[in-house]
Amino acid sequence: MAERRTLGAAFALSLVVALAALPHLLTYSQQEILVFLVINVLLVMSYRFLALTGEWSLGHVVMMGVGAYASALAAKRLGFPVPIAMLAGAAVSAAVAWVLSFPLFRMKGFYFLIGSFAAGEVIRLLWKRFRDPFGGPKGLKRIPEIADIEWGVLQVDFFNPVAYYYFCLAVVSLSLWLLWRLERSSIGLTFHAVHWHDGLAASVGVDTRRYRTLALVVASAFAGLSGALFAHYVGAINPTRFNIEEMVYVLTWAIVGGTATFYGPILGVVMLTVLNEVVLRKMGLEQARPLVYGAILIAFVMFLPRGLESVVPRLARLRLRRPGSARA
Amino acid sequence: MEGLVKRFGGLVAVDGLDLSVRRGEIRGLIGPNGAGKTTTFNVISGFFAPSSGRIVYRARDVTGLAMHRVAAEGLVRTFQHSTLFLEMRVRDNVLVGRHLQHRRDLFTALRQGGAWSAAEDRERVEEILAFFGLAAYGDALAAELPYGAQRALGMAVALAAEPDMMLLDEPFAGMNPEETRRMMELVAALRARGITILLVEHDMQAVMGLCDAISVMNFGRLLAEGSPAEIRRDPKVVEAYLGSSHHAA
Ligand SMILES: Nc1ncnc2c1ncn2[C@@H]1O[C@H](COP(=O)(O)OP(=O)(O)OP(=O)(O)O)[C@@H](O)[C@H]1O
Ligand SMILES: [Mg+2]
Repeated sequence: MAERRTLGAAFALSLVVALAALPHLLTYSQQEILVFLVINVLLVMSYRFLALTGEWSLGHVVMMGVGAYASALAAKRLGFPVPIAMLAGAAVSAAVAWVLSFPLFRMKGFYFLIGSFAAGEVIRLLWKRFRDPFGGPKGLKRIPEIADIEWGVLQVDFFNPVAYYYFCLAVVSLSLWLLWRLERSSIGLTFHAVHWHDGLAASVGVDTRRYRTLALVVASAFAGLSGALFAHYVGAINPTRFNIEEMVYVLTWAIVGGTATFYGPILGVVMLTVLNEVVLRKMGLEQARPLVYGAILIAFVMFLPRGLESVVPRLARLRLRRPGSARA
Repeated sequence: MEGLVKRFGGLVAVDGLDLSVRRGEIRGLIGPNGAGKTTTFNVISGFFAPSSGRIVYRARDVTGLAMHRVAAEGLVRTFQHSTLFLEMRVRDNVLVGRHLQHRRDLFTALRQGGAWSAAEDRERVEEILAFFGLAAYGDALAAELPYGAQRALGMAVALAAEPDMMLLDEPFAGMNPEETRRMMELVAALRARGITILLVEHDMQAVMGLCDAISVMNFGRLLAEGSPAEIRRDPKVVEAYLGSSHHAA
């Protein structure tokens, strides 16, 4: 037991050191990719939170966009300090999700999937249609970045990807910790119950509609937060950034990684980002990204439907069985 | 329950059923296949809204309430076919049944994190598992249980909700005589704890042995009502069962 504890602590410590050191081993453009990767981890993890109840949405990236637009406008128009604007963005995402839950949760499964897509398209249409305040098809530009910090010796410029990476890492870690706590609580158990058999859950008093709504609202809040992180780093957003193609990437991360474990989607997004940025870019195949993603998605659904996460326990067992490392 | 009607399109599955169950009794609800027993359960438990009629439970009108609200009134049903959270552990199945016993909001949940289940709750879950002879299976997945144990787990989940009244839909279906005998004892023990029971069951020996009174349904209507002895002698009942077995043959 004690041995496992120390092992766990050692693992956590090396993870922290590795994450802290990581940007310093990378080129500038790789550092930027790293920032997006951290933001995408939050996006796909919030998506998994919704999937705990068994519902798969096609509107999740649009909820990210809602957070991005709201946060950008709060900072630009209302003069909110950027960190406050980001929280406001998450709150607006949650509120929009709550309103959408009324029509959407009259549906389940496939119909919910299509309904969420339609709802997302309506929101994107509103962004395109209303130049004021959303900037129309061109979107919003010159979104304020986080104000530089200049406290004596401590000087941080958040335009610098390394600084922004640390900021995102902190925000995302905190968010993941919150999602983890929720999943491990009685609420998480109820989500699983709603997923596996909503009729049985209702028969012992679970208000299934309420729990689906809760999952959607919380998931959208964190998706909105990821959108806000994105908007204030890139400085410009438009409706195309949050279209169905982006949604397919999120789905691919989730399916390739697997959604049964907490680390599954993280595996998925990290592996595919590395593939994307290292392999495809080197080979000059970036244009083929949708094609490659589609092929990977189909391959996983056919040959490894439970995702990369299902390989991890098998690897662990292999290691244990190897002579020398076997303990028991 | 008064004048209960449930139509599916042109089909009238329950047709003006009147039924009243006394607190603390075991009431049998029997009838040939397709008589409308499960549909009656579905309407009482809020799975379907009735086409017309009224359901009163403990002087409260529960007609048309959503399923989870009916459960909150203390009225919990089990399902005819093994209905479980198959991919979840046996213990967690029962823990979900405890849903109504908790305060659940985001902030409590965040504070609880992994150690959410209060000690008394854990204790109660173990107690219920032991009651149904499932103590050894706590960590197994529900899907891995043998059939008889799955039936028992379905009742364990319902009992975990601490109901005042249980609607049991064919709890002995598919059980061997030994399992049936054990399960009958458990049902009797539930009543001894003060739980009112409405029991749908085709195993006549079990029904006759357990019930204080029996209601017989046919074609969605009440055909007869009385003590087990009266029902056994009732010519209408005998005919309904013979009639239906003629059709089946
Ligand atoms: N959801 C439904 N939609 C349409 N018809 C239904 C539905 N549920 C039940 N029925 C019909 O209602 C009638 C009563 O069915 P019900 O399941 O209540 O019978 P039962 O008494 O429980 O029979 P069994 O002893 O076989 O379980 C049947 O004719 C059945 O086909
Ligand atoms: Mg039935």
